[in-house]
Formats: sequence, C-alpha cells, structure tokens
Amino acid sequence: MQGLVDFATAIGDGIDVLLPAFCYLAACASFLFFVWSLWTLSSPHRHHHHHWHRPWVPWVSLVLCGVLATFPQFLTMANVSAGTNLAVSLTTYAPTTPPNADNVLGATPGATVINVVTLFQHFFQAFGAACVFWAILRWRAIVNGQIDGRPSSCGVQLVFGVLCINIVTVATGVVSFFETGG
Amino acid sequence: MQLSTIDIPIARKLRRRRGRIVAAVAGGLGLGFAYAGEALAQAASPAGGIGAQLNTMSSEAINAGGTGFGMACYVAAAVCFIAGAWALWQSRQPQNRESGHVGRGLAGLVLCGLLATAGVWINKAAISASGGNATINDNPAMVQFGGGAGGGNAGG
Repeated sequence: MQGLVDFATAIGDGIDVLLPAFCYLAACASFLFFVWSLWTLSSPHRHHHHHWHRPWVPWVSLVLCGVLATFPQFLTMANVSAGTNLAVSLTTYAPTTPPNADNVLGATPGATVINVVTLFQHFFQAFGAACVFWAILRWRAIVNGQIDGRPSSCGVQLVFGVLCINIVTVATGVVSFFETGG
Repeated sequence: MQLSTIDIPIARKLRRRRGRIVAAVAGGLGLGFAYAGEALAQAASPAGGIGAQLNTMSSEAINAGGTGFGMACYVAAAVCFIAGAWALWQSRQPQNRESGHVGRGLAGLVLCGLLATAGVWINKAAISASGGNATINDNPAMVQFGGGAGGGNAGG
C-alpha cells in the first residue's frame, strides 16, 4: 500500500510539473493562432477563409491564451465556485512527501474510505487539474472546428476535474450523505 | 480450401493460448507491481524521482518553446509589416481601389505591433480572463494545491 501511495504521489508530482510547461506552450500557440487568424482573415479574399463564418474563433483563442497564462488562478476561481476556496498556485519544484499509509483502517468503513482518498489526494488533485486543462484545449478545438464534439461535454469534463481537485471534500460529503441519509 | 478447414481449429487453439499467455503476463506484472511496492516504499520522495526528471524535461521544453515562440513572433511581425505596407501600396493602384487592400494594410501594421509586444498582450488577455497578471512564464514551475507539502486541501 505504501508503495502504491508513493508511486501515485510521484505520478502526481510529474503531472504538477508538466502542467505549467504545457500551459506555457499552449498559451504561446493560442496567441500565435489568434494573430495569424486575424491576419489571414484580413485578406481581400477572406470569403474563402475556413473561419469566415465564425469570426469569433481568433478571439476565443486570445481569451483562452489568457486563461492558460493564469491557469492556477483559473483553478482557484473554479474552486471558489465549487465552494471549497482551495487556492492553487505555482512554486518551484520540490518532491512531495507521500503520506503515511499505516493505520489506513478507520473506526468505521466511511472513515476508511476517507483515509484512502486522502492518501491519494495529491494524485487526484494533479489529475483533476490535468482534466481541466484538457477540457479547455478540447473546447477550443471544437470551437475552431478541428474536432467533432459537443462543447457541453467539455463542461462535464471541467466539472469532473474540479471535483477531482476537491476530492476529499467530495468524498466526505458523499460518505456523510450515506451515513446520515443527507 | 483444405488448408482453411485445418487452419481454423489451429487458429482457435492459438487464440486460446494467446489469451492464456496474456492473462499469465498480466498476472505476473500485477504480482511484480505488488512486490515492487515494497521497494518503492523504501524510497519515499526521492530527489531523483519522476517529478525531478519531468521537471528537467519540461524546463527544456519551455526553453525550446519559448525560443521558438520568440522567433515565430519576430518572423510573423516582419511578414505582417512588409505585407501590410505592400497591401497599402497596392491599394493605391487603380485596379485595386475597391478590393480590401487598405484594410489588409492596416491590419498588417496593427498585428505587427501586437506580435512585437506579444508578452504584453498575453498579460492583458490574462488580466481579462482571470483578473490577475500572467503567472505562467518561462521558469519551470510546479502546481501547488492549498498550502502544498503533501497536497493539503483547504476545503477538506
């Protein structure tokens, strides 16, 4: 069990480290896309442009460029909306110390569930942040017409990611619902 | 034709055996991971772990991406300026008076300025989108939840 917790924490660390780099690259790419789309749309032959009927496409990329450049603040705002006010920020890399997996069994089954979720909390949080990042990129691709899909599915993915980030709160709520019947 | 009647049972047997082999390999891997857990448990939070390696890789990606982005902005700004000036020049030609060259020329000059100050405009977009200055930059960083140190959850 301790080995699994260590491994999950290490994977979580990896995701936490990769996300800012991906955000940086995606923000740069979005900005270039914004400028270059405006430039090509300014052509006298713009009626042949594949975004001619969707003039908002470059501006969506500009807004998402801003979102990606402030990704931790965006996650913080999402957590405020979720009601947990969990602050997300950036720091220099330092390996996260995995929690101790001893005494995982609680006094009740519900307490045990919370203990297990807490052990893997770091991984859930990193995975949730990655889900939110992926939802943003998917939504942009759908708006741009690069992939098929419903924008609402990206909303579901985003909510799922935020729930993963606040997994302990969610798990506590679910356990307490089943223990007390709401 | 004869071969096909012989081959089908053989193929079935091979498929069944392959399924068993896959199951055996999967079981072995599972046991291996379970055993490896003991080894991982002894090396909690290693300085040279997955995170450290990915941090090195992401810093290389940021360096390469940032350099590429700067170069792309530089080239695109030059293209926009030259093509914009050329479009303005063309707009004065009698055959191009009503074909949108003025708009392209102006767009080229404005976008040249946008590209030359890309960082400023990304920051403006960040302020508009999230209400704060851009925090993602060309320094390798790590996302931290709550107070950090073990992934604390302020709400939990």
